[in-house]
Amino acid sequence: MTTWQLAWRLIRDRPWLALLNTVLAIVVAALDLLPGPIAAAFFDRLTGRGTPGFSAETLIAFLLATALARTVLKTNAVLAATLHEFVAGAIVRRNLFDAILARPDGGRAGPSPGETLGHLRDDAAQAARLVGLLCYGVSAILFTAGALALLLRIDAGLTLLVVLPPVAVVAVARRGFARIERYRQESRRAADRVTGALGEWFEAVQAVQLAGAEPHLIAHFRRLNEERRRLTLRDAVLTRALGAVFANSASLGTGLVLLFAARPLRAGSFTIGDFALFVYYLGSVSEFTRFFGGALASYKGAGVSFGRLIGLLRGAGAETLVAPGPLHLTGPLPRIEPPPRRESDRLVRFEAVGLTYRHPGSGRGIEEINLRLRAGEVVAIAGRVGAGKTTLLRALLGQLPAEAGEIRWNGGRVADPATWCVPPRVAYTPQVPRLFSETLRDNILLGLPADEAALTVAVRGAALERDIAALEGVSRRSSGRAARGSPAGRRSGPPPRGCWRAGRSCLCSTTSPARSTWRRSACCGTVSSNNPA
Amino acid sequence: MNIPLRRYWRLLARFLAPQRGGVLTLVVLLLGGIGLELLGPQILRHFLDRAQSGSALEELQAAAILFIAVALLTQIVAVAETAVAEGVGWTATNRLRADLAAHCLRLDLTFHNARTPGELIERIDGDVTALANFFSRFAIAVVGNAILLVGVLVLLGREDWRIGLGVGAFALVTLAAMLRLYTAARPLWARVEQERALFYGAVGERLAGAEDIRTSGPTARAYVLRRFAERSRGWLRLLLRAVLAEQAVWMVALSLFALANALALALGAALFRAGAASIGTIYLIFHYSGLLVRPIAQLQAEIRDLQQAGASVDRVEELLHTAPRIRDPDGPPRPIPDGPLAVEVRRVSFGYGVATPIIADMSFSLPPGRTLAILGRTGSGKTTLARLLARQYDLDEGAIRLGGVNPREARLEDLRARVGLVTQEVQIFAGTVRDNLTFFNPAIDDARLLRAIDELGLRGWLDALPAGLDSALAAGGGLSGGEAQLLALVRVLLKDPGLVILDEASSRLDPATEALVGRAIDRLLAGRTGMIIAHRLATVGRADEIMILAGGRIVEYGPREALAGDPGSSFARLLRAGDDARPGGGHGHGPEEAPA
Repeated sequence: MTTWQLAWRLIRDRPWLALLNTVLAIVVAALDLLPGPIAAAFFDRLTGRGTPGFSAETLIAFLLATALARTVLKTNAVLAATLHEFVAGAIVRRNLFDAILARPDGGRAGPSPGETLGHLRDDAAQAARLVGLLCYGVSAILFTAGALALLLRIDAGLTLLVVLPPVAVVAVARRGFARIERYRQESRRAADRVTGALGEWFEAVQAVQLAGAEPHLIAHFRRLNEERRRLTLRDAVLTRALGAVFANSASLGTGLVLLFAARPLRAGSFTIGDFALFVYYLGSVSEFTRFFGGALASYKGAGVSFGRLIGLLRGAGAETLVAPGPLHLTGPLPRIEPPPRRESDRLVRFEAVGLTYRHPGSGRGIEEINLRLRAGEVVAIAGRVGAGKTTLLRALLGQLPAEAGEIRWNGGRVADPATWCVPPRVAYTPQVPRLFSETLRDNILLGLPADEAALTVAVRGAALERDIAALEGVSRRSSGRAARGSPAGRRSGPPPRGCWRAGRSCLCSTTSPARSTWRRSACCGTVSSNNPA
Repeated sequence: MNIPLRRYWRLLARFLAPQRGGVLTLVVLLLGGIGLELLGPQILRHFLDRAQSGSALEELQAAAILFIAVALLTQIVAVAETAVAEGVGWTATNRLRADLAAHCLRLDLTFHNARTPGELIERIDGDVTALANFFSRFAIAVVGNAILLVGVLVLLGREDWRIGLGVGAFALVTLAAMLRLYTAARPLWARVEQERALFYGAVGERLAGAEDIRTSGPTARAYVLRRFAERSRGWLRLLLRAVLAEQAVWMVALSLFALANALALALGAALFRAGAASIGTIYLIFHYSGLLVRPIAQLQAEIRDLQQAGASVDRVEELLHTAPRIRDPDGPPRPIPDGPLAVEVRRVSFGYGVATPIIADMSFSLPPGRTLAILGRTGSGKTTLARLLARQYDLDEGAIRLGGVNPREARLEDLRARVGLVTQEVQIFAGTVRDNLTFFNPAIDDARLLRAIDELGLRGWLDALPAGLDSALAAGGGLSGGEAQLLALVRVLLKDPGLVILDEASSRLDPATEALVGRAIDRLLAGRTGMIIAHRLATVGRADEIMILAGGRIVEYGPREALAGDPGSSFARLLRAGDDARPGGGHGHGPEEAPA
């Protein structure tokens, strides 16, 4: 899909909101247009030119009323635009997030979670900004058309003479944007080096402090900062210089009006009111040219952003990104249904036949694995580092796409292991478990209904009572970063997460040295271990 | 309102002081630009009055060309202004960034454990960048516009004092109203930013743990998406409130100015009818009134920056005022003696600020040059003991003496130089092997580095790397656990400490690496006091003394040979279990599973 089609889908996802945003912007633009003719009438009234009509005082009252109405409507327009852009961004963020959670990345070395987060944040915002710009653009075009129509009616020749040069200047100056873009990328990279260094040093702060390395790091930091200052300065000055060209195009227009209107003004065929109108709209027309230039750049930027976002969709179609799914920004939150437990899911036999997966690049992996696991059995997978133990588990789970071979559940071929090999059929505990900054309870349950007694059993099953007592209870302590200080906290979350979900089969890649817990738990399982324990 | 401005100033003045020249140039450019901007309408008036009175065409055209020239000059000044302001602003804020980074690196682990690196980047870079924007744009847009405003009022007053005074009064009322409303809106933006940071922080965690969520089934995914919706809601609600508060400022300001303009025009019209003003003057009033809207509009646009800068100033100051808990002594520092250090631990208790202590009433003493192996299950206090000896935390109770000196009475720099701690997880950052070994210390030359590497017998390992010392390492990856540990051993050796504390990697190493690490440890410990948190029986074998911990208490302590020879000791039981484990691969336990 083209950038335009994607943006249009996003607009159509919430049609009423888009309409509200657009209509309010148009009303504000109309109120921006009005002061021109009113002021012109005011001057003509004073100088006794033009057609008789309202008194000067009435016209001033009109000006005032227009200004007051505009401020009120503008507030509403800004609120609508904020809401609209937020919603458009939220649609993109949610769809992308959902796609990542739904599908494994197919074993390709995709961007790191940090980079993905960056795209989710910045590229989604860029896409949302385009939606906002398109709605605003309608009002900008209408405004410009209205202003030009009024000017052409007064003096078509003069209009062309004074409007065209500024537009031409702006068009030429647009070429500078390519360079700005390059400068900006360079200054952004310099900024990334600064933040990247900070991130790593704080991640390794303990080592830094133990080594007493702070002064050396700061000296290095100053060098990175200086480089960034230089590049950012270059970017800012060029941006400002181009901005000056744009701003100047309005003044240039006014100067041209002075130059060309001198004769008709003297002759009386061009009134002071006409002059006021010309000057008032010239600024706005050049403002529009500027807006249009910015919008064009945003359009291109959004195209790049859409491309990156679609690349993160794990092969799902581009339309997934802009699907009008529910956001639940208002109203009750959705209920979470626990997975149904069906008798047919009960494990009798779990098999892998000829399972093959090789990591792209290194070519290492697993080849022709045949494995049979019966209910109640515990199978340990042993091997040296790099032998393919974890790869095997991830391939069994469908988290890595098998190049050959298949998975069978009770003799039947599993078409999509990634969606089939999940609780309550299969539970998995990875070697490096990930904790989220929620309570330990939420980390274990992950949305399953809480049953205090069963939770206690799971915690006991994973031999975690002592660790949890140290953390002062399942529900109190939030984990994630907060638990970093305590090794128990870091390791303790997921084993019960697996236990809690474990229905029929359990895969566990142990932290090593192996905790003995899995031998005590009642499920049948496959244990991959670096430790012959 | 006065207070935050004064605080911005105090914060910035410190960093601006060295750049007086730049600031002065900026002021000159700012004033020059404003003067040119005020000149334009005067030319317009001149033009209109002359046109009305039927002056020569050449005179009118000369005025038109002058107008264009002034406009061009205005833009040139504006570009120069940006160049100077950005230069001054970035130099100043880079100083602030470096100071903040240095400050944060000195703060202790209690501080760092409560904050993600991402959060600190936000403080040091994000908030300071907001401050930079404050300086470079706010200084121009707000201060510059304020001066422009005054200039316009003065020129209006020159035409008629009543117009100048009337519009001036409105301008004052408007500014007062804006500042009051601004104060109300400021905290809202801080909360929006916080909510946004929390939202993306949570999303980032889920992205990193995506596989955990996927393999936990559709319920887990639905749950994560619901939390996502919940957080989006909170963020949106705050965002709309903040935008509304901001728009309120705008609404009031523009309404008041519309009133002022109407007043000025009405007065102007009366003056014109009375013959006291030309039509050019009325146009001048109209034009200047229009000129007033722009500074107001820009003022309001910059208010958002100002608000963010305000919130940033709060956070930056808070950070600067966070004092490290681990500090150099107040009195004169005591030097730590050279050579291997005796370790003396007397009745030490410690608990990370939690009621149940991790280390409880612990006492032991290790003579200089001896090596102690510490055993115990997870949570028994081994790592905590190591952290206390390296003074990463201060004790709750009791005393520690290293070489007879209380670590709290020594300078931190000396302590860190004399005590080497190798953590279990070795932290690697992106950079070359050299950067990772020296931490960007240019004083450590390659010769010294290679000597240290040779001393630990690691030359072969180094030569096997693709580019030797210049081999690039990726943050957190690219090295096996064993290699990372080797790197950490070299880091420690470069300091030549008197006490080496080694929290052994618990991951299994392949035999070749294990032998390499073992040899390096032996050489590192030669002539030094050593404490090893052991996960391998091979390591325990190089210890002179053994300590077994459980629940933060010492359950067994003594010379290794004696304990091994006493069949009733826990250590002997452990050895027997370990012997079972090796050849048969049966159900033995590593030292990690020591009986509690």
